[in-house]
Amino acid sequence: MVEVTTDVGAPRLLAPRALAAVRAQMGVAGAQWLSGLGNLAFAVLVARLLSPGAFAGFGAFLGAYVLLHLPAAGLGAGAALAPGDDVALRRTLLTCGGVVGVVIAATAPFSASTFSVPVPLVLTLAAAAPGAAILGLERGILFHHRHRGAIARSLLAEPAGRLVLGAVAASIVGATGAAVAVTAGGYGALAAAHAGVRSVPRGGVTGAKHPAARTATTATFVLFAVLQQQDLLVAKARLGADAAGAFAALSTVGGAVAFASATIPLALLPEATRDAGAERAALAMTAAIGAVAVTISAIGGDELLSILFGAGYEAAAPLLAPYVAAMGLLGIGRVLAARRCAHGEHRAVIIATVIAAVTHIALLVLVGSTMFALVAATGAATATATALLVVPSGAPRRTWQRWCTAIDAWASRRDLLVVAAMTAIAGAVRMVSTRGLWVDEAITVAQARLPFGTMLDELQATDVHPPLHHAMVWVLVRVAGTSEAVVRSPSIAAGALLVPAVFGLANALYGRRTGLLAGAMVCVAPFAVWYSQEARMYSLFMLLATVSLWAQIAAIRGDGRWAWAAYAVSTAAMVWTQWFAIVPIAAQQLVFAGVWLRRRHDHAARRRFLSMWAVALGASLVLVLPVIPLALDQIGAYTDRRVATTAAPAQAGSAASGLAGDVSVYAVGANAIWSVVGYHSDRVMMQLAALWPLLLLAGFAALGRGRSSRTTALVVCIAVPALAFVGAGMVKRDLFELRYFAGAVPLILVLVARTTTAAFARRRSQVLASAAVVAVLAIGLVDQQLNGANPRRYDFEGALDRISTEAEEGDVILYEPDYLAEVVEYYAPDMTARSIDDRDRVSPDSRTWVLATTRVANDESTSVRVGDALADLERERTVVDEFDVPNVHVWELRS
Amino acid sequence: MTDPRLLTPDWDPRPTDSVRPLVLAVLGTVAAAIYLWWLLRPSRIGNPLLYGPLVIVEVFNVSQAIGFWITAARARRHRRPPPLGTFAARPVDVFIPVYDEPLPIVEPTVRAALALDGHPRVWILDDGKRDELRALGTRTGAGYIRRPGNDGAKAGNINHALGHTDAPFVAVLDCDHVPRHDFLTKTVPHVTDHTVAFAQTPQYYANTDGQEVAAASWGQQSLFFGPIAIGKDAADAMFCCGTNVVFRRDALESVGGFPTESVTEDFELSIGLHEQGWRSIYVPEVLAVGLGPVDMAGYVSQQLRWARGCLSAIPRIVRSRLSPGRRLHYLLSSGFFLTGWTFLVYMTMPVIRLTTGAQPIATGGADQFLVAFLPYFGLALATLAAMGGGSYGFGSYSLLFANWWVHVSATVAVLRGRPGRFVVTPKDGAARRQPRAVLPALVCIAVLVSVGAFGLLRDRSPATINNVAFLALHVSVLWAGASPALRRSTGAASDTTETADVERVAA
Repeated sequence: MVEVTTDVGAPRLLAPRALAAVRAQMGVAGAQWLSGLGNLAFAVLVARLLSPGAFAGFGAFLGAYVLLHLPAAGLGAGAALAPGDDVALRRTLLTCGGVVGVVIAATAPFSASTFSVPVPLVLTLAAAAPGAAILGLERGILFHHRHRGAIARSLLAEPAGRLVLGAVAASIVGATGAAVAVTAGGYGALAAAHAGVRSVPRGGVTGAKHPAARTATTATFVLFAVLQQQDLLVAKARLGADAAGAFAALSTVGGAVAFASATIPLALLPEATRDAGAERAALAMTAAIGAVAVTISAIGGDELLSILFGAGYEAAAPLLAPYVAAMGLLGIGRVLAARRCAHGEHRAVIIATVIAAVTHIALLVLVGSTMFALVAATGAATATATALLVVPSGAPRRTWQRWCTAIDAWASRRDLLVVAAMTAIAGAVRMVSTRGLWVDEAITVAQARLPFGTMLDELQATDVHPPLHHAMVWVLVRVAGTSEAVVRSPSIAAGALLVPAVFGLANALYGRRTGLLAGAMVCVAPFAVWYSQEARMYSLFMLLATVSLWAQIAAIRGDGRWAWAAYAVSTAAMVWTQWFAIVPIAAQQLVFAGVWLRRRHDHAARRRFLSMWAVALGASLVLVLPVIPLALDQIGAYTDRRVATTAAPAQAGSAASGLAGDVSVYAVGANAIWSVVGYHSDRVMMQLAALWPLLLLAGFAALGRGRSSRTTALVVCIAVPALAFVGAGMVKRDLFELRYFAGAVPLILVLVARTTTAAFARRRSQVLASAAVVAVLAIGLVDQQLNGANPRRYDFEGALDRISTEAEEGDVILYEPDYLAEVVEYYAPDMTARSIDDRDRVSPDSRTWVLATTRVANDESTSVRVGDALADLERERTVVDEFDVPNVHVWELRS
Repeated sequence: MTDPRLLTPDWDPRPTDSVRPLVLAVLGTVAAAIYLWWLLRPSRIGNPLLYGPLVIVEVFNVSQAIGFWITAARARRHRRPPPLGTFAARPVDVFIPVYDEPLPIVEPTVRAALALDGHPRVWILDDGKRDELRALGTRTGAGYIRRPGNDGAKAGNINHALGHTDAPFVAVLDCDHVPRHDFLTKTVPHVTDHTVAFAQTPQYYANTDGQEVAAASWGQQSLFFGPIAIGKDAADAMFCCGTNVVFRRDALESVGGFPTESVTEDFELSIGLHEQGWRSIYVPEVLAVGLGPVDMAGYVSQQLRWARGCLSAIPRIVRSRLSPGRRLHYLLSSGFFLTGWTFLVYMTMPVIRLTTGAQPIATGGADQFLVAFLPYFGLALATLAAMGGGSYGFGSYSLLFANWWVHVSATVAVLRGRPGRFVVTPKDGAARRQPRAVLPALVCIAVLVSVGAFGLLRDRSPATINNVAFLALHVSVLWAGASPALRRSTGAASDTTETADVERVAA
């Protein structure tokens, strides 16, 4: 009898073969790190021996020397994979190097004067040229034959030569002596490598099976070297001197990280095809190096830069960790490239690296005007390279086919085209007929202008919102400025994407007709459009709430793990966007609980469901954990500070709904009206509220239709947040505000769409009713956007544009209330602007503009301050003009 | 096309949840009390001439609602079916009264009755004096009874047959109700109890697909034969519905057979039996499948007959020797046919407000009203939705609302002491439109729309818009209920039914 045993033991992080591969890698990598330390010690030694001017010249030499050795990295990789005819290649490289050396020597006087360096330095560089490429080749051959001892000797010979010769030569001959030591060190390394190659048995050096593989591998690693270096060149060209210096510091640290893992792909190249453990070991080591470097940079970036480069590099500190992460990704990309080159996937690798390099240079050229943008561009490029390389060959095609199949099962091509068209229309609707920035938006912009850490401090101390949207605006502001379109672009994008999300949700719940109607409704839904045009987080909140419920429905229907993953990520993102997201998430847990209870007859399915639910919830909690300290700090700060009720932004329909008072049926009704037909003047709101008997009709119409579990789930996700906020509003009035449960609004639209399509059995009636619903929303949108009596529409832009046009130098704006500071600063940055409390500081001779919101000016309790200020000012001035724009009043006073 | 009566019904009225009806009943009763407490405060009195009728209809509606809640809450009780016993050896006379129904409607019922389990003795009671029915009896083996005259309509027909048969149990099936093979085995065991006079089963309509009136009518039936009938059964107050029912012969004989002076002979018979101490049973399982009215004229004639019969029985119920609980149940059932008056009052109030400015309620903003009214309204709808099992929908409610005048007309006729005539509910329907059957609703729509337009032209204040919204609500419901009569009936088998039925019965 044959007994078959299967190893089903617990998975281990690294198999024994991989551990052996790690040990093999460590030998070479250790030498590399020692070499790096030696080179660093040499640089520090030379810096202490030379005068600053001489050291600058030496620095220029060192940069050119590194540039000269750029192809060596590629050649080394190519040779490590397939050495080929080394003799012929060596001869060719020697010839090429000699020619380059001669050219450098011949142009030495010219280049010396151009770069302000001594001619002997240039000549020394010329002397280094013949050996540069060959060094890469020799080391590559050694990697191919796993001659790790010789590699280590070659790596260590370089700093040893530099240190031994450099200490003496630099002190005697100065910068040229140090340069000679560097060149000598390079030749020493070459000699050590060559000796190692000679010890390889003859015949072992040849035998390249794939010359194309060598060429492609060489090109790939040259491209990686370019990817590593080209941001520095752009920084020198486009940044100011200080910023360029700071970026050079970043590049140096990042380069060290890339250097630390440089030998790992070379060691992997000959091993990859025969030892899977070597791949895992290489990836693990590279990732570990990157992770350690990122951790050190994140924790002690300031100190590290200060120690290495002295004072004056603080601006680079916040970007150190991201840049080091980018270089860590580059290291991982090189390992992946090596693995795939070894497996003969040269074409895919070349395409991936070319795409990454081109993306990099394109981003650098297009947006690389700030240090942040350069770091972001490098991060994007290295991430692109890594992502492209991690995708197996043929996977894109297979993935595309899978997607096509999944999409076909989800919706027809025609429906998708319709949804795409509706998304475009929604984007267009949100981009036309916009309004000026509202106070909260101006605060967002002001916060986004701060350094990232300072912005987080500001959020922690003075705000009540989580940081995701702020972080997005912060990035955009750095990349593309602070125009209205830019700061609102996340909201506009989220608002447009709400169309496919709502279609997806409604389609999953009720089918395509309801999905299409819900999508069409979102295109013109006034509330959705309003917050899509606001540089705040509510639009994103709506999108994420919709996506999370969609994912939840998919998960409940058993659409697979991706649905649970999407649910976990989207709920976490919701919390990162808006703290009140915990309420709809709690409602979703009720839905999960209901589903779990209903599956009581199928124990296996119930257990499976429960475990997936627990994992998704746990994952979501883990993703939310990092932001909890901020939440606690904000709660503490919110509790501590006193909120002036008069400073609260006005609520639409207050006259109709008594919103200024307690939570009432009218307040609930007003919020319900806003959620569907948007914000309107008090008069319109009163008329709309008077239509409540139609709700009874809706109640009758719903008779006999309430037995769908899908509708029950949807209603739970709407009603629970609504009830929670009514309850919260009774305790603390300012919490009862529709935008805080904006996540329920798309669900309300889905419910309205469902009611519309289900109310009529005949197709023609359905179409007519759907058109009527969309038309009502469109009318509501037009009134909301264009009616100047809309109490939420503050035209600060119009008022301040007019003031700026008429103002002359020395004119002053006084504003009331205080929270207008940011919006005045945004629209009139060149004018002097003060709170009306600071009116005493305004020169009597200067023309003065007093700007106040109509609400403040008309409210009995707050108008006194404006009146007092005007009375004070009129002692030495006269009101010469007044004008109104929606909800803003302006007085012009002259002496 | 397959006769829908031969398909398996997918409706099961037996309650699955015992807690929800009770919770809804408690909450609903409390909400109704709060609403009445709010409404009946003296400070609410606006125009007394309007306030009075409003209070009357609201008190009536609240009492009906509370009655429904309490009845539905009792529906959670399950009745355990009795053992089969030896009934299988005993014969059952199965009566199929026929008047002018077409043969294709009658034949499946006769054949299904002959195939019943047990010992059925099937009798065709032919009041139409048609030889083709005699031939049907000969052909199928069913008995055939034809009487000299037509006195007492259906009741007289059955009474005549009782004198010519002798089985201890009597089943009555309308000729359009096709029984399931186990009809007798699931009903007769109940009446083997010497105290039980009859066992009633649901009156299920199979022709609801594509037939709006029949579907809406079935929605109303489902509410009655669902929670209401089960609740009445729990209170031992279920009354006979004229078909799909099995009697003890001695019970029928104890009251002298079916009363012939009423158009709802079954209702009157039940009162008589209950007065004599007999018990009744409701078996909540579809054991016979029938056809509902397929057009508006048929529906109206049926409702007129039921309304007249039940309303005319109110004095009898009040005077009866029934226990208080049973009397209350009978009054609730009869009183339901006054509901049309409440609709009339509701429609009138905004009309008066828009044309004269007078309003029934004086103080308190809409928010106060909504706080008091919405919970009551919401819970009433929730109970309908939950207890109706999805069958009672907007179509059922709007059909009732649009035919408000049927109740008003029946009340007037009863008050004037004009006897009704028994008219068979048409089963084949009219192919043409029937605007005359919904003329009162159409007139109402015209009036409400005109008044609404008048109000809006005069001013667009929130108060006006609020009243116009009420008009819009009423117009929508009226239109939804009346519009089926303005479309050609897709399920009509022939064009034989005259809208004159309406006038005949109303006369």
